[in-house]
Amino acid sequence: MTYSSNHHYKKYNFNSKEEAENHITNLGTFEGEGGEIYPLHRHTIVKLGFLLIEDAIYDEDGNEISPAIHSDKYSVDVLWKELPVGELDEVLFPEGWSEKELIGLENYKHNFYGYTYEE
Amino acid sequence: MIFGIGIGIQFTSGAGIRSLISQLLSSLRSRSTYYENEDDTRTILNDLDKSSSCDNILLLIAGQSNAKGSTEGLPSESYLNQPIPDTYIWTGSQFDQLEVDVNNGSYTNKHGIELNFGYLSQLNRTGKVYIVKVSEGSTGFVDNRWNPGDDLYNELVNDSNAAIAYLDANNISYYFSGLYWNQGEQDTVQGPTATAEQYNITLGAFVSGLRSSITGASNMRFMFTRLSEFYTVRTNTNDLTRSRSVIVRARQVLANTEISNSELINQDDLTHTGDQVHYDSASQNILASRVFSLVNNEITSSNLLEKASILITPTGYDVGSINAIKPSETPFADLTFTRNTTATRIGGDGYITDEAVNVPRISENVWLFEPQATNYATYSNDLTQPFYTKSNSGVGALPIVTANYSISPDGTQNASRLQCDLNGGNTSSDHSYVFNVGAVTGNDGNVSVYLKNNESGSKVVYFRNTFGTIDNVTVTGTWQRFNISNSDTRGLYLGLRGNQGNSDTCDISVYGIQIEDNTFATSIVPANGTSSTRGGEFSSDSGDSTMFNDSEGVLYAELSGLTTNGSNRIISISDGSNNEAVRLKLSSTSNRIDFEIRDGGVSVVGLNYTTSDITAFHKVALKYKSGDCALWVDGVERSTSAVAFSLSGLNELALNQGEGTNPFYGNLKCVAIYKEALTDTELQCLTS
Repeated sequence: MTYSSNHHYKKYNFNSKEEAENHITNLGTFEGEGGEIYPLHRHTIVKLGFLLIEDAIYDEDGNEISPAIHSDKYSVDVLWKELPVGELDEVLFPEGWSEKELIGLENYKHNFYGYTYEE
Repeated sequence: MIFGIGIGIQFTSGAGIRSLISQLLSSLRSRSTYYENEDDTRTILNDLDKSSSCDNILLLIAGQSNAKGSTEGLPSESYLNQPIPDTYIWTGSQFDQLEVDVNNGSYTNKHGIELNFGYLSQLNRTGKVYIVKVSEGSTGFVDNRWNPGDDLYNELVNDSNAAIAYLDANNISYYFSGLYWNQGEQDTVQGPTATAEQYNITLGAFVSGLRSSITGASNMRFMFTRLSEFYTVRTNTNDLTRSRSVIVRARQVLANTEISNSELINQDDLTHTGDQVHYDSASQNILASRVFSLVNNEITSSNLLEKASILITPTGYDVGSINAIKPSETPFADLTFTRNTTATRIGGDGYITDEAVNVPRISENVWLFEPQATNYATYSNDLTQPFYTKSNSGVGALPIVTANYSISPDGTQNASRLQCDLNGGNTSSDHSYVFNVGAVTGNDGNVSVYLKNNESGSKVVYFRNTFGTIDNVTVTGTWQRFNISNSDTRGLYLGLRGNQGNSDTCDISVYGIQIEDNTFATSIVPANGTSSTRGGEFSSDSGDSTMFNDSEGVLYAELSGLTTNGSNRIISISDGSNNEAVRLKLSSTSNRIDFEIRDGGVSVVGLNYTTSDITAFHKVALKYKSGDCALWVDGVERSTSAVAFSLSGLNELALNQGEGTNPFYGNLKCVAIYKEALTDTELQCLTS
């Protein structure tokens, strides 16, 4: 098995926070001496949550006048590191993630420093 | 390099070490794509050169008349007939500068080795000499003056301990070079002969007693003279004395084999004053050079720079690699390094600058390792963006914001200008500020910002987070970073409020706003339109099994934490698993340093020391050896363990606990590995 030397920046939408966390856990974890859970991978994962679609409105003291409107999808950004490469030189993403990939630049709220997300 | 000194004696010196430092730097420079900060690394290397890092010498002198000095007159060398530079002698309550006929502890117009020893040291070394001298003519073991419990023995113990306590109390570090002992004559002139035949045993008990009674002397070096050959054929004494002197000479040789860490000094080539007993001035000076040579060679041979099997300093690096300065030949002991994103650092020119993916960071001249962080302030510099609400109330004016107004800490003109005016309003209803309240919800976090006053003098500015933690900060003409840590930090307010501070107007520059979900401020993650994430940093895989010793060794680091608590942040040597490891932890317990050994998957040694502030730099050494472990912090042995264990398979230095978890986050100036359990003196020098 060969591995890609490039990082791969992808955005994902999940139906719930639990679904997102299950996908992340399935990337591999192990339990530390004190029961802590550690990732086995070195990908950089950011749980963005339910992204803001419309800002809340506040008065001059910061009191909320009208609430913010959030997406009903739970967003996660991933900077994949050293993914395996297939026979046709295609990068093999972990199982179950491609189905959740967000295509498009709408609601583009987050970046990994030094990268520009492209469709 | 060999160089000459007074009275025709030559010594090797620290010049060899300086050559080693040049060689190490040259090797690192030649194989590193990135190379900087050499001056600081030279300082670190010089500090590890024990002859300079532990400059000061403590020497004990004891014995009878030839220790005291019974020369025929003052030394002929003018430089010995004046205060000896950088040389001090214990006078009962303090150390005074050494000077013949003032305080050198000898008879009038006479001297021992102390004068030339001090002179040679100041000529060859950079540190000071501290001497404790207890001597009296015609005294020995046979007349009950030097046996453990005898008056002179007790005086030597008491004076030594008082002098050591004085040095410690005054934070004077020193290399305890040992005891110079010149004695034996009295045990030849006074019988019975059977006592002379026991001289080696008596001497052994004397040394053993001192080592257990004098502070820090448990393995004190014992440098002692052998009676001169001329003494055995004296014409001005009787046969019994001559025969006993032959016996004592032989027992002195035997004692040298029986007493650990001892050195027998030959005197057969020396000349006496004419009385066939006492050495003349020239001979005392030669003796001084012999003792100095022993001390100097010991310091050079135990050089901590030479002894390190792995040494890492903030100097040379490549993409994906922190390059070890030692070893300087293959196999190297470089740490691998990963960070998935670009990150910022403060470069050698003092400006914030970017460092590319997988390139380690030397920031403000030290290695910087940080956890993952997301800056939720979608514009870190531009206050004109809608992300920041411009707000006024009462008599306060709407703040005026200007983008790209002034030169920021990154050296470019991208800092915003913020002008606020309360128009004399002094109630909580009067305000003139910008704010954002909704960047992060419900997380522990930190908000930070760089501020500079655009006007002369300073201004107190209202700076708070969403949940009301207020930090009225004093903004001056110099860029400063301010931060607020809070259990629920969502956004920030910045400007003026009537009931806060004492400023009615302000005109300040603003840069690097960062709202992150770490509980402390990490390096700025610039954002321009979206939130922005810096990847966490991981470093491991330094060395191989030849560079570690399972039986004993030392893990040393000069380091500081980014925060007083949080996760365990670990540097370890291990077998790459949780089974066998020596771990240095910045503990999750506030300000605490832990030393843990895991053997067979079980934690067998757990020592700790709580510092006053773990975010300040500390020098930490973990000495590991079965039944003999010690945690040294900043020159002091803080905790010990006598637990037995049997480590195996140590083959990796990592900036985590061994198998990859609990990565080290903090600042690092130096990491060193030693394959032997260093002595207490060496550990004190290393960590001072």
